[in-house]
Amino acid sequence: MNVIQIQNLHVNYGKIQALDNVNFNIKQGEFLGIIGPNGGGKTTLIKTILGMIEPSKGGVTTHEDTVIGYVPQLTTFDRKFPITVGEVIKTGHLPKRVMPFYKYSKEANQHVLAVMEQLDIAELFDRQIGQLSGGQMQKVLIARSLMNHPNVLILDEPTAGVDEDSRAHIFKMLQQLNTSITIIIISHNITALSPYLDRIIYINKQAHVHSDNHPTSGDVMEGDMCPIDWFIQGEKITKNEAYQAHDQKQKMASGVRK
Amino acid sequence: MTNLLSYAFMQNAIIAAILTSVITAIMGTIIVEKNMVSLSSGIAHTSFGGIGAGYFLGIEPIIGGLFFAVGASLGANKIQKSTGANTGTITSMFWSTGMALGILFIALTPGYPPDMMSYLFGDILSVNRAYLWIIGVLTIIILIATLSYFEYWKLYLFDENYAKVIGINIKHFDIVLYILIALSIVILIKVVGIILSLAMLTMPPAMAKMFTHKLKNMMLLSSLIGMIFTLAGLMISYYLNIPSGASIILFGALSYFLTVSVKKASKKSNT
Ligand SMILES: Nc1ncnc2c1ncn2[C@@H]1O[C@H](COP(=O)(O)OP(=O)(O)OP(=O)(O)O)[C@@H](O)[C@H]1O
Ligand SMILES: [Mg+2]
Repeated sequence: MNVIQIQNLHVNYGKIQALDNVNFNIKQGEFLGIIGPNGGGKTTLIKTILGMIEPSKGGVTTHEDTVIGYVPQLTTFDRKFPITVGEVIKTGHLPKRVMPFYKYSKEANQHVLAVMEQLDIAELFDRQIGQLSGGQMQKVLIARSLMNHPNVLILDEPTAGVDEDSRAHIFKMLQQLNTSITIIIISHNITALSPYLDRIIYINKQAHVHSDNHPTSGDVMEGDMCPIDWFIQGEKITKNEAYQAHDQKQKMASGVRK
Repeated sequence: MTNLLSYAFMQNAIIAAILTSVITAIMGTIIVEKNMVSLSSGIAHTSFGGIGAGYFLGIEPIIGGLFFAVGASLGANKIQKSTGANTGTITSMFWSTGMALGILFIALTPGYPPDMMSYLFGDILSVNRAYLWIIGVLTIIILIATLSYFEYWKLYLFDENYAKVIGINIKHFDIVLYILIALSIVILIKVVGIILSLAMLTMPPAMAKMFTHKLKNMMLLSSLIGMIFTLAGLMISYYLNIPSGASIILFGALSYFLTVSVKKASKKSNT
Protein backbone atom coordinates (compact mmCIF):
# COMPACT_ATOMS: atom_id res chain seq x y z
CA MET A 1 0.00 0.00 0.00
CA ASN A 2 1.22 3.51 -0.75
CA VAL A 3 1.02 5.96 2.14
CA ILE A 4 2.15 8.89 0.00
CA GLN A 5 1.96 9.36 -3.77
CA ILE A 6 3.90 12.09 -5.49
CA GLN A 7 2.77 12.79 -9.01
CA ASN A 8 4.02 15.20 -11.60
CA LEU A 9 5.25 17.48 -8.82
CA HIS A 10 6.66 20.89 -9.75
CA VAL A 11 7.66 23.48 -7.17
CA ASN A 12 8.93 26.98 -7.91
CA TYR A 13 10.13 29.76 -5.64
CA GLY A 14 9.42 32.73 -7.83
CA LYS A 15 11.63 32.14 -10.84
CA ILE A 16 13.74 29.47 -9.15
CA GLN A 17 12.66 25.98 -10.08
CA ALA A 18 13.26 23.75 -7.08
CA LEU A 19 11.49 20.56 -8.21
CA ASP A 20 10.84 19.56 -11.79
CA ASN A 21 8.39 16.75 -12.42
CA VAL A 22 9.02 14.48 -9.47
CA ASN A 23 7.18 11.15 -9.41
CA PHE A 24 7.41 8.36 -6.88
CA ASN A 25 5.40 6.57 -4.24
CA ILE A 26 6.21 5.86 -0.64
CA LYS A 27 5.14 2.45 0.59
CA GLN A 28 3.80 1.64 3.98
CA GLY A 29 6.51 0.38 6.31
CA GLU A 30 9.48 1.34 4.21
CA PHE A 31 12.63 3.05 5.39
CA LEU A 32 13.37 5.56 2.67
CA GLY A 33 16.53 7.61 2.32
CA ILE A 34 16.58 10.91 0.43
CA ILE A 35 19.95 12.15 -0.75
CA GLY A 36 21.14 14.85 -3.12
CA PRO A 37 23.38 17.89 -3.40
CA ASN A 38 22.90 21.10 -1.42
CA GLY A 39 20.07 23.03 -2.96
CA GLY A 40 18.86 19.90 -4.74
CA GLY A 41 15.34 20.30 -3.38
CA LYS A 42 15.22 17.75 -0.55
CA THR A 43 13.82 20.10 2.06
CA THR A 44 11.46 21.55 -0.51
CA LEU A 45 10.16 18.05 -1.27
CA ILE A 46 9.35 17.23 2.33
CA LYS A 47 7.89 20.64 3.03
CA THR A 48 5.57 20.03 0.11
CA ILE A 49 4.63 16.62 1.51
CA LEU A 50 3.91 18.33 4.84
CA GLY A 51 1.73 20.93 3.16
CA MET A 52 3.97 23.84 4.12
CA ILE A 53 4.60 24.68 0.45
CA GLU A 54 2.05 24.74 -2.38
CA PRO A 55 3.15 22.95 -5.54
CA SER A 56 2.99 24.96 -8.74
CA LYS A 57 1.90 21.87 -10.65
CA GLY A 58 1.02 18.29 -9.78
CA GLY A 59 0.88 17.26 -6.18
CA VAL A 60 1.09 14.96 -3.23
CA THR A 61 -1.66 12.57 -2.21
CA THR A 62 -1.55 11.06 1.25
CA HIS A 63 -3.54 8.02 2.28
CA GLU A 64 -6.48 9.06 4.45
CA ASP A 65 -5.18 7.29 7.57
CA THR A 66 -1.79 8.94 7.33
CA VAL A 67 -0.55 10.82 10.39
CA ILE A 68 2.80 12.46 9.73
CA GLY A 69 5.43 13.17 12.37
CA TYR A 70 8.10 15.73 11.48
CA VAL A 71 11.62 16.32 12.74
CA PRO A 72 12.83 19.63 11.29
CA GLN A 73 16.39 20.58 10.42
CA LEU A 74 18.22 21.54 13.62
CA THR A 75 19.57 24.79 12.20
CA THR A 76 16.16 26.44 12.34
CA PHE A 77 16.06 26.64 16.14
CA ASP A 78 16.84 29.35 18.64
CA ARG A 79 18.60 27.22 21.23
CA LYS A 80 18.52 30.05 23.79
CA PHE A 81 14.72 30.03 23.95
CA PRO A 82 13.56 29.69 27.57
CA ILE A 83 11.98 26.25 27.37
CA THR A 84 12.85 22.88 28.88
CA VAL A 85 13.10 19.50 27.19
CA GLY A 86 9.93 18.26 28.86
CA GLU A 87 8.01 21.33 27.71
CA VAL A 88 9.20 20.95 24.11
CA ILE A 89 8.16 17.33 23.90
CA LYS A 90 4.77 18.00 25.48
CA THR A 91 3.85 20.55 22.80
CA GLY A 92 3.54 17.58 20.45
CA HIS A 93 0.42 16.65 22.42
CA LEU A 94 -1.40 19.96 21.94
CA PRO A 95 -4.85 19.41 20.41
CA LYS A 96 -5.35 20.81 16.91
CA ARG A 97 -8.39 22.72 18.00
CA VAL A 98 -7.02 25.54 20.13
CA MET A 99 -8.52 25.20 23.61
CA PRO A 100 -8.41 27.82 26.36
CA PHE A 101 -6.70 26.87 29.62
CA TYR A 102 -5.52 23.60 28.11
CA LYS A 103 -3.79 21.34 30.59
CA TYR A 104 -1.96 18.18 29.50
CA SER A 105 -3.76 15.07 30.64
CA LYS A 106 -2.20 12.45 32.90
CA GLU A 107 -2.01 10.09 29.91
CA ALA A 108 -0.19 12.72 27.86
CA ASN A 109 2.36 13.26 30.62
CA GLN A 110 2.87 9.51 30.97
CA HIS A 111 3.27 9.16 27.22
CA VAL A 112 5.97 11.85 27.28
CA LEU A 113 7.87 10.00 30.01
CA ALA A 114 7.49 6.63 28.29
CA VAL A 115 8.84 7.92 24.97
CA MET A 116 11.70 9.74 26.72
CA GLU A 117 12.52 6.48 28.48
CA GLN A 118 12.42 4.63 25.17
CA LEU A 119 14.77 7.13 23.53
CA ASP A 120 17.07 7.13 26.53
CA ILE A 121 16.68 10.83 27.35
CA ALA A 122 14.53 10.62 30.49
CA GLU A 123 17.15 12.34 32.64
CA LEU A 124 17.06 15.43 30.41
CA PHE A 125 13.46 16.34 31.32
CA ASP A 126 14.21 19.60 33.16
CA ARG A 127 17.15 20.77 31.06
CA GLN A 128 16.95 23.99 29.10
CA ILE A 129 17.36 23.08 25.41
CA GLY A 130 20.46 25.29 25.10
CA GLN A 131 22.29 22.86 27.40
CA LEU A 132 21.94 19.85 25.08
CA SER A 133 24.35 18.31 22.62
CA GLY A 134 23.32 18.09 18.97
CA GLY A 135 22.47 14.41 19.29
CA GLN A 136 20.41 14.94 22.43
CA MET A 137 18.48 17.77 20.80
CA GLN A 138 17.71 15.52 17.82
CA LYS A 139 16.33 12.87 20.13
CA VAL A 140 14.18 15.49 21.83
CA LEU A 141 12.74 16.52 18.46
CA ILE A 142 12.17 12.87 17.55
CA ALA A 143 10.35 12.36 20.85
CA ARG A 144 8.16 15.39 20.15
CA SER A 145 7.33 14.10 16.67
CA LEU A 146 6.13 10.81 18.17
CA MET A 147 3.57 12.43 20.45
CA ASN A 148 0.70 12.39 17.99
CA HIS A 149 1.24 8.69 17.18
CA PRO A 150 2.40 9.13 13.58
CA ASN A 151 2.52 6.26 11.09
CA VAL A 152 4.89 8.20 8.85
CA LEU A 153 7.95 9.94 10.27
CA ILE A 154 9.87 12.49 8.20
CA LEU A 155 13.31 13.62 9.37
CA ASP A 156 15.38 16.41 7.80
CA GLU A 157 19.08 15.66 8.37
CA PRO A 158 18.73 14.30 11.90
CA THR A 159 22.43 13.46 12.09
CA ALA A 160 23.98 16.72 10.92
CA GLY A 161 26.42 17.89 13.59
CA VAL A 162 26.04 14.67 15.56
CA ASP A 163 29.04 12.51 16.51
CA GLU A 164 29.43 8.97 15.17
CA ASP A 165 28.26 7.15 18.30
CA SER A 166 25.06 9.15 18.70
CA ARG A 167 24.49 8.85 14.99
CA ALA A 168 24.58 5.07 15.16
CA HIS A 169 22.29 5.26 18.18
CA ILE A 170 19.79 7.44 16.35
CA PHE A 171 19.80 5.14 13.30
CA LYS A 172 19.21 2.07 15.49
CA MET A 173 16.40 3.87 17.25
CA LEU A 174 14.80 4.71 13.92
CA GLN A 175 15.18 1.11 12.82
CA GLN A 176 13.25 0.04 15.91
CA LEU A 177 10.55 2.60 15.21
CA ASN A 178 10.43 1.37 11.63
CA THR A 179 8.77 -1.87 12.77
CA SER A 180 5.53 0.11 13.01
CA ILE A 181 6.25 3.45 11.31
CA THR A 182 7.19 4.39 7.75
CA ILE A 183 10.37 6.46 7.87
CA ILE A 184 11.59 9.05 5.39
CA ILE A 185 14.99 10.47 6.16
CA ILE A 186 17.11 13.13 4.46
CA SER A 187 20.78 12.53 4.98
CA HIS A 188 24.15 13.45 3.58
CA ASN A 189 25.76 10.41 5.07
CA ILE A 190 24.57 7.50 3.04
CA THR A 191 27.40 5.09 3.95
CA ALA A 192 26.43 5.02 7.60
CA LEU A 193 22.72 4.98 6.85
CA SER A 194 22.54 2.49 3.99
CA PRO A 195 22.44 -0.71 6.07
CA TYR A 196 19.10 0.44 7.46
CA LEU A 197 17.50 1.67 4.27
CA ASP A 198 15.07 -0.10 1.97
CA ARG A 199 15.39 2.39 -0.82
CA ILE A 200 17.25 5.55 -1.74
CA ILE A 201 15.95 8.47 -3.74
CA TYR A 202 18.35 10.97 -5.20
CA ILE A 203 16.87 14.44 -5.61
CA ASN A 204 18.41 17.05 -7.83
CA LYS A 205 15.43 18.99 -9.15
CA GLN A 206 14.27 15.63 -10.47
CA ALA A 207 13.99 12.38 -8.56
CA HIS A 208 16.02 9.30 -9.35
CA VAL A 209 15.08 6.13 -7.59
CA HIS A 210 17.93 3.84 -6.63
CA SER A 211 16.13 0.53 -6.85
CA ASP A 212 18.89 -1.76 -5.66
CA ASN A 213 17.00 -3.11 -2.68
CA HIS A 214 13.71 -3.25 -4.52
CA PRO A 215 14.54 -4.41 -8.02
CA THR A 216 10.89 -5.00 -8.86
CA SER A 217 9.56 -1.62 -7.81
CA GLY A 218 8.16 0.04 -10.88
CA ASP A 219 8.06 3.48 -9.39
CA VAL A 220 10.38 5.30 -11.71
CA MET A 221 8.13 7.03 -14.14
CA GLU A 222 10.41 9.73 -15.37
CA GLY A 223 14.02 10.77 -15.10
CA ASP A 224 17.16 8.76 -15.46
CA MET A 225 19.16 6.63 -13.13
CA CYS A 226 20.22 7.36 -9.58
CA PRO A 227 23.90 8.38 -9.54
CA ILE A 228 24.54 5.46 -7.21
CA ASP A 229 23.40 2.98 -9.82
CA TRP A 230 25.51 4.90 -12.23
CA PHE A 231 28.53 4.54 -9.98
CA ILE A 232 27.92 0.82 -9.71
CA GLN A 233 27.28 0.15 -13.37
CA GLY A 234 29.70 2.56 -14.94
CA GLU A 235 32.65 1.78 -12.76
CA LYS A 236 31.88 -1.81 -11.84
CA ILE A 237 32.20 -1.24 -8.12
CA THR A 238 30.20 -2.62 -5.21
CA LYS A 239 27.25 -0.88 -3.66
CA ASN A 240 29.25 0.07 -0.58
CA GLU A 241 32.05 1.54 -2.61
CA ALA A 242 29.47 3.57 -4.49
CA TYR A 243 28.04 4.94 -1.26
CA GLN A 244 31.49 5.87 -0.07
CA ALA A 245 32.22 7.58 -3.38
CA HIS A 246 28.98 9.53 -3.01
CA ASP A 247 29.78 10.61 0.55
CA GLN A 248 33.32 11.56 -0.41
CA LYS A 249 32.02 13.71 -3.19
CA GLN A 250 29.54 15.38 -0.81
CA LYS A 251 32.27 16.02 1.73
CA MET A 252 34.52 17.59 -0.87
CA ALA A 253 31.70 19.73 -2.17
CA SER A 254 30.91 21.07 1.29
CA GLY A 255 34.63 21.50 2.01
CA VAL A 256 35.01 23.75 -1.00
CA ARG A 257 31.95 25.69 0.15
CA LYS A 258 33.54 26.42 3.52
CA MET B 1 7.81 58.72 52.81
CA THR B 2 4.34 58.43 54.38
CA ASN B 3 3.29 61.91 53.42
CA LEU B 4 4.70 61.30 49.94
CA LEU B 5 2.25 58.42 49.55
CA SER B 6 -0.62 60.60 50.68
CA TYR B 7 -0.43 62.62 47.48
CA ALA B 8 -3.04 61.39 45.00
CA PHE B 9 -0.68 61.91 42.04
CA MET B 10 1.91 59.69 43.74
CA GLN B 11 -0.62 56.93 44.45
CA ASN B 12 -1.70 57.02 40.82
CA ALA B 13 1.90 56.96 39.65
CA ILE B 14 2.67 53.90 41.80
CA ILE B 15 -0.38 51.99 40.55
CA ALA B 16 0.51 52.97 36.97
CA ALA B 17 4.07 51.79 37.52
CA ILE B 18 2.93 48.40 38.81
CA LEU B 19 0.44 47.83 35.99
CA THR B 20 2.96 49.01 33.41
CA SER B 21 5.46 46.52 34.77
CA VAL B 22 3.02 43.65 34.34
CA ILE B 23 2.12 44.70 30.78
CA THR B 24 5.72 45.19 29.69
CA ALA B 25 6.88 41.97 31.36
CA ILE B 26 4.44 39.80 29.41
CA MET B 27 4.56 41.66 26.10
CA GLY B 28 8.30 42.28 26.43
CA THR B 29 9.08 38.60 26.97
CA ILE B 30 7.06 37.75 23.88
CA ILE B 31 8.64 40.54 21.82
CA VAL B 32 12.17 39.60 22.84
CA GLU B 33 11.67 35.88 22.23
CA LYS B 34 9.92 36.38 18.90
CA ASN B 35 12.68 38.72 17.71
CA MET B 36 10.25 41.60 17.37
CA VAL B 37 12.17 44.29 19.22
CA SER B 38 12.96 46.36 16.13
CA LEU B 39 9.43 45.89 14.83
CA SER B 40 8.06 47.12 18.15
CA SER B 41 10.20 50.21 18.15
CA GLY B 42 9.04 50.78 14.58
CA ILE B 43 5.43 50.61 15.75
CA ALA B 44 6.13 52.93 18.66
CA HIS B 45 7.71 55.57 16.47
CA THR B 46 5.07 55.23 13.77
CA SER B 47 2.43 56.08 16.36
CA PHE B 48 4.15 59.44 16.70
CA GLY B 49 2.70 60.23 13.28
CA GLY B 50 -0.76 59.40 14.59
CA ILE B 51 -0.28 61.60 17.62
CA GLY B 52 0.57 64.48 15.31
CA ALA B 53 -2.45 63.66 13.15
CA GLY B 54 -4.60 63.70 16.30
CA TYR B 55 -3.51 67.23 17.12
CA PHE B 56 -4.04 68.32 13.54
CA LEU B 57 -7.54 66.86 13.36
CA GLY B 58 -8.40 68.01 16.86
CA ILE B 59 -9.07 64.53 18.27
CA GLU B 60 -7.39 62.85 21.26
CA PRO B 61 -3.79 62.36 20.06
CA ILE B 62 -3.55 58.91 21.65
CA ILE B 63 -6.48 57.71 19.51
CA GLY B 64 -4.62 58.90 16.41
CA GLY B 65 -1.53 57.10 17.69
CA LEU B 66 -3.55 53.95 18.20
CA PHE B 67 -4.76 53.91 14.59
CA PHE B 68 -1.24 54.42 13.29
CA ALA B 69 0.22 51.77 15.58
CA VAL B 70 -2.32 49.09 14.71
CA GLY B 71 -2.04 50.00 11.03
CA ALA B 72 1.75 49.83 11.14
CA SER B 73 1.88 46.51 12.96
CA LEU B 74 -0.66 44.78 10.71
CA GLY B 75 0.79 46.46 7.63
CA ALA B 76 4.37 45.47 8.42
CA ASN B 77 3.23 41.89 8.94
CA LYS B 78 1.37 41.84 5.64
CA ILE B 79 4.15 43.45 3.60
CA GLN B 80 6.72 41.13 5.12
CA LYS B 81 4.66 38.02 4.37
CA SER B 82 3.77 39.01 0.81
CA THR B 83 7.10 40.44 -0.35
CA GLY B 84 9.46 38.53 1.93
CA ALA B 85 11.31 41.82 2.48
CA ASN B 86 13.65 42.16 5.42
CA THR B 87 11.80 43.13 8.63
CA GLY B 88 14.47 45.68 9.48
CA THR B 89 13.96 47.48 6.18
CA ILE B 90 10.19 47.66 6.56
CA THR B 91 10.52 48.73 10.17
CA SER B 92 12.82 51.65 9.46
CA MET B 93 10.56 52.77 6.63
CA PHE B 94 7.53 52.86 8.93
CA TRP B 95 9.61 54.40 11.69
CA SER B 96 10.92 57.34 9.66
CA THR B 97 7.68 57.90 7.78
CA GLY B 98 5.74 57.98 11.06
CA MET B 99 8.09 60.47 12.69
CA ALA B 100 8.13 62.65 9.58
CA LEU B 101 4.33 62.67 9.42
CA GLY B 102 4.18 63.55 13.11
CA ILE B 103 6.40 66.57 12.65
CA LEU B 104 4.56 67.60 9.50
CA PHE B 105 1.14 67.45 11.17
CA ILE B 106 2.37 69.43 14.16
CA ALA B 107 3.82 72.08 11.89
CA LEU B 108 0.51 72.29 10.02
CA THR B 109 -1.50 72.57 13.22
CA PRO B 110 -2.33 76.21 13.88
CA GLY B 111 -1.51 77.77 17.22
CA TYR B 112 1.04 77.05 19.90
CA PRO B 113 2.88 73.70 19.26
CA PRO B 114 2.11 70.96 21.82
CA ASP B 115 4.85 69.53 24.03
CA MET B 116 5.99 66.52 22.02
CA MET B 117 8.70 65.84 24.56
CA SER B 118 6.06 64.35 26.84
CA TYR B 119 5.33 61.71 24.20
CA LEU B 120 8.96 60.73 23.98
CA PHE B 121 9.47 60.34 27.72
CA GLY B 122 5.94 60.34 29.11
CA ASP B 123 4.89 61.74 32.43
CA ILE B 124 3.97 59.10 34.94
CA LEU B 125 3.24 61.72 37.61
CA SER B 126 0.39 63.17 35.57
CA VAL B 127 -1.57 59.91 35.17
CA ASN B 128 -5.12 60.36 36.42
CA ARG B 129 -7.72 57.92 37.76
CA ALA B 130 -9.55 57.59 34.44
CA TYR B 131 -6.37 56.67 32.64
CA LEU B 132 -5.52 54.16 35.37
CA TRP B 133 -8.72 52.36 34.44
CA ILE B 134 -7.63 52.18 30.82
CA ILE B 135 -4.28 50.70 31.83
CA GLY B 136 -6.05 48.30 34.19
CA VAL B 137 -8.38 47.01 31.49
CA LEU B 138 -5.45 46.51 29.11
CA THR B 139 -3.58 44.58 31.81
CA ILE B 140 -6.55 42.27 32.26
CA ILE B 141 -6.94 41.73 28.50
CA ILE B 142 -3.26 40.84 28.16
CA LEU B 143 -3.35 38.52 31.17
CA ILE B 144 -6.39 36.67 29.83
CA ALA B 145 -5.06 36.44 26.27
CA THR B 146 -1.71 35.04 27.32
CA LEU B 147 -2.59 32.87 30.32
CA SER B 148 -5.60 31.18 28.77
CA TYR B 149 -3.61 29.97 25.75
CA PHE B 150 -0.26 29.73 27.46
CA GLU B 151 0.76 26.29 26.15
CA TYR B 152 -0.07 27.41 22.61
CA TRP B 153 1.85 30.66 23.00
CA LYS B 154 4.84 28.60 24.08
CA LEU B 155 4.74 26.56 20.89
CA TYR B 156 3.95 29.61 18.74
CA LEU B 157 6.96 31.47 20.10
CA PHE B 158 9.36 28.54 20.09
CA ASP B 159 8.49 26.81 16.83
CA GLU B 160 5.66 28.34 14.84
CA ASN B 161 6.32 26.10 11.83
CA TYR B 162 5.79 22.98 13.87
CA ALA B 163 2.41 24.24 15.00
CA LYS B 164 1.47 24.62 11.34
CA VAL B 165 2.75 21.15 10.49
CA ILE B 166 0.70 19.43 13.17
CA GLY B 167 -2.30 21.37 11.97
CA ILE B 168 -2.83 23.84 14.79
CA ASN B 169 -4.40 26.97 13.41
CA ILE B 170 -2.26 29.70 14.89
CA LYS B 171 -2.93 32.29 12.22
CA HIS B 172 -5.00 34.38 14.62
CA PHE B 173 -2.11 34.33 17.13
CA ASP B 174 -0.23 36.61 14.75
CA ILE B 175 -3.06 39.10 14.57
CA VAL B 176 -3.80 39.01 18.30
CA LEU B 177 -0.12 39.52 19.05
CA TYR B 178 0.25 42.46 16.65
CA ILE B 179 -2.82 44.17 18.05
CA LEU B 180 -1.74 43.61 21.65
CA ILE B 181 1.70 45.03 20.90
CA ALA B 182 0.20 48.11 19.27
CA LEU B 183 -2.31 48.61 22.10
CA SER B 184 0.34 48.21 24.79
CA ILE B 185 2.76 50.60 23.19
CA VAL B 186 0.21 53.32 22.60
CA ILE B 187 -1.27 53.11 26.05
CA LEU B 188 2.19 53.13 27.60
CA ILE B 189 3.26 56.14 25.56
CA LYS B 190 1.06 58.39 27.63
CA VAL B 191 2.49 56.96 30.85
CA VAL B 192 6.16 56.43 30.16
CA GLY B 193 6.69 57.72 26.61
CA ILE B 194 7.91 56.04 23.44
CA ILE B 195 11.49 55.67 24.62
CA LEU B 196 10.78 54.40 28.10
CA SER B 197 8.15 51.96 26.90
CA LEU B 198 10.74 50.37 24.61
CA ALA B 199 13.24 50.24 27.48
CA MET B 200 10.63 48.63 29.72
CA LEU B 201 9.76 46.08 27.04
CA THR B 202 13.35 44.93 26.67
CA MET B 203 15.41 45.51 29.83
CA PRO B 204 13.42 43.51 32.42
CA PRO B 205 13.02 40.42 30.15
CA ALA B 206 16.70 40.52 29.21
CA MET B 207 17.62 40.63 32.88
CA ALA B 208 15.10 37.95 33.88
CA LYS B 209 16.47 35.60 31.24
CA MET B 210 19.77 35.48 33.09
CA PHE B 211 18.06 33.74 36.00
CA THR B 212 15.52 31.38 34.47
CA HIS B 213 14.94 29.12 31.51
CA LYS B 214 11.18 28.88 31.64
CA LEU B 215 8.91 31.22 29.76
CA LYS B 216 6.44 31.63 32.63
CA ASN B 217 9.18 32.39 35.14
CA MET B 218 10.70 34.86 32.73
CA MET B 219 7.40 36.76 32.63
CA LEU B 220 6.96 36.66 36.42
CA LEU B 221 10.52 37.73 37.14
CA SER B 222 10.31 40.49 34.50
CA SER B 223 7.25 41.97 36.24
CA LEU B 224 9.11 42.01 39.51
CA ILE B 225 12.19 43.60 37.97
CA GLY B 226 10.01 46.12 36.14
CA MET B 227 8.33 47.11 39.41
CA ILE B 228 11.68 47.60 41.09
CA PHE B 229 12.91 49.75 38.17
CA THR B 230 9.84 51.96 38.02
CA LEU B 231 9.29 52.37 41.76
CA ALA B 232 12.96 53.00 42.49
CA GLY B 233 13.10 55.38 39.53
CA LEU B 234 10.07 57.25 40.86
CA MET B 235 11.64 57.67 44.31
CA ILE B 236 14.93 58.83 42.83
CA SER B 237 13.09 61.26 40.60
CA TYR B 238 11.18 62.67 43.57
CA TYR B 239 14.12 63.10 45.90
CA LEU B 240 16.68 64.27 43.35
CA ASN B 241 14.09 66.32 41.51
CA ILE B 242 14.93 64.92 38.06
CA PRO B 243 12.52 63.75 35.30
CA SER B 244 10.98 60.38 36.20
CA GLY B 245 11.39 58.88 32.69
CA ALA B 246 15.11 59.46 32.74
CA SER B 247 15.59 58.20 36.29
CA ILE B 248 13.67 54.96 35.58
CA ILE B 249 15.68 54.21 32.43
CA LEU B 250 19.01 55.08 34.00
CA PHE B 251 18.30 53.06 37.13
CA GLY B 252 17.25 50.10 34.93
CA ALA B 253 20.29 50.33 32.69
CA LEU B 254 22.61 50.57 35.69
CA SER B 255 21.01 47.51 37.33
CA TYR B 256 21.24 45.59 34.07
CA PHE B 257 24.94 46.25 33.60
CA LEU B 258 25.69 45.54 37.26
CA THR B 259 23.89 42.20 36.99
CA VAL B 260 25.74 41.29 33.81
CA SER B 261 29.11 42.05 35.43
CA VAL B 262 28.29 40.18 38.64
CA LYS B 263 27.09 37.19 36.58
CA LYS B 264 30.24 37.24 34.51
CA ALA B 265 32.49 37.51 37.54
CA SER B 266 30.75 34.65 39.34
CA LYS B 267 30.97 32.50 36.21
CA LYS B 268 34.70 33.11 36.04
CA SER B 269 35.27 32.25 39.71
CA ASN B 270 33.28 29.04 39.21
CA THR B 271 35.48 27.71 36.45
N1 LIG C 1 12.36 30.13 0.71
C1 LIG C 1 13.00 30.04 -0.45
N2 LIG C 1 12.94 31.05 -1.36
C2 LIG C 1 13.58 30.97 -2.54
N3 LIG C 1 14.29 29.93 -2.94
C3 LIG C 1 14.39 28.87 -2.11
C4 LIG C 1 13.76 28.87 -0.81
N4 LIG C 1 14.03 27.71 -0.21
C5 LIG C 1 14.80 27.01 -1.07
N5 LIG C 1 15.02 27.71 -2.21
C6 LIG C 1 15.79 27.25 -3.38
O1 LIG C 1 15.24 26.02 -3.82
C7 LIG C 1 16.26 25.11 -4.13
C8 LIG C 1 16.10 23.85 -3.29
O2 LIG C 1 16.35 24.15 -1.92
P1 LIG C 1 16.19 23.09 -0.74
O3 LIG C 1 16.32 23.82 0.55
O4 LIG C 1 14.98 22.29 -0.97
O5 LIG C 1 17.50 22.18 -0.98
P2 LIG C 1 18.07 20.98 -0.07
O6 LIG C 1 18.22 19.84 -0.98
O7 LIG C 1 17.27 20.78 1.15
O8 LIG C 1 19.52 21.54 0.29
P3 LIG C 1 20.44 21.31 1.61
O9 LIG C 1 21.14 20.01 1.40
O10 LIG C 1 21.41 22.44 1.53
O11 LIG C 1 19.57 21.35 2.83
C9 LIG C 1 17.58 25.85 -3.95
O12 LIG C 1 17.98 26.34 -5.20
C10 LIG C 1 17.23 26.97 -3.01
O13 LIG C 1 18.05 28.06 -3.25
MG1 LIG D 1 17.66 21.01 3.33
